[in-house]
Amino acid sequence: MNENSSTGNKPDVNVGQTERIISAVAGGFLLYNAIAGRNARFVKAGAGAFLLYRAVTGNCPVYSVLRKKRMPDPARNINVRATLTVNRPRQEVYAFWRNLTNLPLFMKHLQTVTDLGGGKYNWVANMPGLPGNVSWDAEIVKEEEGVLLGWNALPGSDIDNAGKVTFADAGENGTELHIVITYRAPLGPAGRVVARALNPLFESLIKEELRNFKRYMETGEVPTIQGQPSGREPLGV
Amino acid sequence: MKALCWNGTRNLSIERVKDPVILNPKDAIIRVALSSVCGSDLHLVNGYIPTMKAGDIIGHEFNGEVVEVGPEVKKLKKGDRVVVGSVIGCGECYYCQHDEWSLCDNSNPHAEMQEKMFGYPTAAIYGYSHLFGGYAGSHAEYIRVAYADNGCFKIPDGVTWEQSIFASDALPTGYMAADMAVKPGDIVAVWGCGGVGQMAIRSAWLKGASRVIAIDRFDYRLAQAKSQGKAEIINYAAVNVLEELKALTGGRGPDVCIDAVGMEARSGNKLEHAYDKIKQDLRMQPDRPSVLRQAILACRKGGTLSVVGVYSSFVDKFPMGILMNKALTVRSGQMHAQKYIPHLLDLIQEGKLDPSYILTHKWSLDDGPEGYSMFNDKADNCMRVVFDPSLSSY
Ligand SMILES: NC(=O)c1ccc[n+]([C@@H]2O[C@H](COP(=O)([O-])OP(=O)(O)OC[C@H]3O[C@@H](n4cnc5c(N)ncnc54)[C@H](O)[C@@H]3O)[C@@H](O)[C@H]2O)c1
Ligand SMILES: [Zn+2]
Ligand SMILES: [Zn+2]
Repeated sequence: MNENSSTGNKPDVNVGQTERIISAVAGGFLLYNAIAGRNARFVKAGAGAFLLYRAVTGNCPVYSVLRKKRMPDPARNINVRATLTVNRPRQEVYAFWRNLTNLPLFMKHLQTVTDLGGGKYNWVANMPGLPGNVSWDAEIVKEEEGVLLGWNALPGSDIDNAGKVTFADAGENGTELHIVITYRAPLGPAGRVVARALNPLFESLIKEELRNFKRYMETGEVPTIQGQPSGREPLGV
Repeated sequence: MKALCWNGTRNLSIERVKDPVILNPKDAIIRVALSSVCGSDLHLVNGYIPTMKAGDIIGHEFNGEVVEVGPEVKKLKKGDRVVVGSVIGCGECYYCQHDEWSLCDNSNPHAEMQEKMFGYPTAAIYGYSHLFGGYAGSHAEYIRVAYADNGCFKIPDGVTWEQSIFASDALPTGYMAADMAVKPGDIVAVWGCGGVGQMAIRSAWLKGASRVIAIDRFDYRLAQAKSQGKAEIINYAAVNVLEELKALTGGRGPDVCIDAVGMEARSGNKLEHAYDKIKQDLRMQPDRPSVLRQAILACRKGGTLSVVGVYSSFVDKFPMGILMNKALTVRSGQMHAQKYIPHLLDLIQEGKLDPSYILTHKWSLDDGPEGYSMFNDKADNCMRVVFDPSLSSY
């Protein structure tokens, strides 16, 4: 091949680079759309960024915290990342979260959390789109008072999940929480398509429950308009 | 109870609905004494604010009597006469605690919807679309008030319902427009002489303005700006506003330009108006920004633009280059009711301020739909029509 020819084929490496640039731009565009909420799959943004991080670093923050050796199949995993700031001191926020049996007070989809002793808890939740309740036992596998909490579901759970929350001071803004939850959808391999369709719902549900945590911690209640009057249920005369 | 419901664009009706009940420990139920129309409602009625649902009760500027309180309400009791801020603040989040109540993190149950549109959720507002929380509004016999200790302010002795109602919304909005921008000695121009503009004019004086210039096209509103507000006036339909403002300010331009008009501005220039109206009606631009454009041109170099007129999302042909090269400052926001109401009620009680002149009509709630068309058309010299649910229409 004549490398100096201006009409000949371009060297392979250049094509490869162009493709890489195009895919980077396209990827960035998709991520941008996802972040801007333009795309119905916007909720994948967190998972996308997370997977990207894992791909680049070969490291999974959740599983490294949990000292898990086996990486689950990423295609079947949903990763939810969230960050929020709660206008309360860090120890107070940590203590409130750590008291897991409180969570159903304000997390609308959680039915109960029961302390089984030995750092193990039973969780029962009602997931939109799924009949009946789902339940799982989870174990606190890592705890640093006031700083970090990591858990892992035990074998036999309806929802195979693991997660970690870190707590950091945010000056006069209060406390920053960084949350990563990884789970496999509750329908097994056969229901993969259905699970995919439900995942955005689960992610938005988890984020709403985190918002509820903040609302309840700061104000002692969760704002609602359920049960207020409207002309949609007219009384007649 | 009776309530005024939104059923669709320019379609309001009185319906019988169930009475509100306490839903959260910090709620209170108020028997509405007076509930006013506001320019913001026109944006809903005319169909420019998304996420309204047929059957929503509208109205957000009101006062009344406490009839029931939730178990966590500490400062109020049955029988208290209160005026309630139109913006809902929890009192506990970072923003509320920094007196930026309309930015409250917690009051909007539909925060997720706002996060998608604005990046971050803002405070809920009574009767003002589901994007802003979906709370039932005040054009009704009773209303549920959330975080009642923060939202309700006792009306001082000797102050009437008529004198206190606009402390709910129009007055703190006009006051905030001035408070954000006006320094002693400033020349202030106010676009829009509705209730909000009238209150901005009064507030500009309170903040030390040396001159106030008011702009509108309705003579009766300009007349009030002159007689009640002691403002110089410009009829934008009759003269060239930019030239007039230059002539009135020694060629420098006003130091502060207040937009008290918002997204349904008309333009004195027929072509500009047609352009914006057609694009808005085709939903190619949600908001008509002719006042913003004009204020940016008119403002003195290094001056401040104070925007309290409401915009819903995007504007077209925004003169960013002019704003940037003239080094203008922009201040804006839904008003921080709870920050201003106590001070404003004091001024009213001391006789330093009486907003009741903007109450031009007091009607029965049954006449709500007619009231809104009168207010929308600026008919019968209407500045604000206020509904009194205890009056019956005959
Ligand atoms: N920021 C807040 O918290 C807040 C609170 C209340 C109202 N508002 C907003 O303030 C604005 C005014 O409310 P209002 O109750 O006084 O409404 P209004 O309808 O009574 O008055 C608006 C006035 O603007 C005038 N106007 C229209 N185009 C104009 C132009 N090009 N130049 C000058 N004047 C023009 C109209 O003639 C009218 O008199 C609305 O956008 C409303 O949504 C904001
Ligand atoms: Zn208003
Ligand atoms: Zn708040």
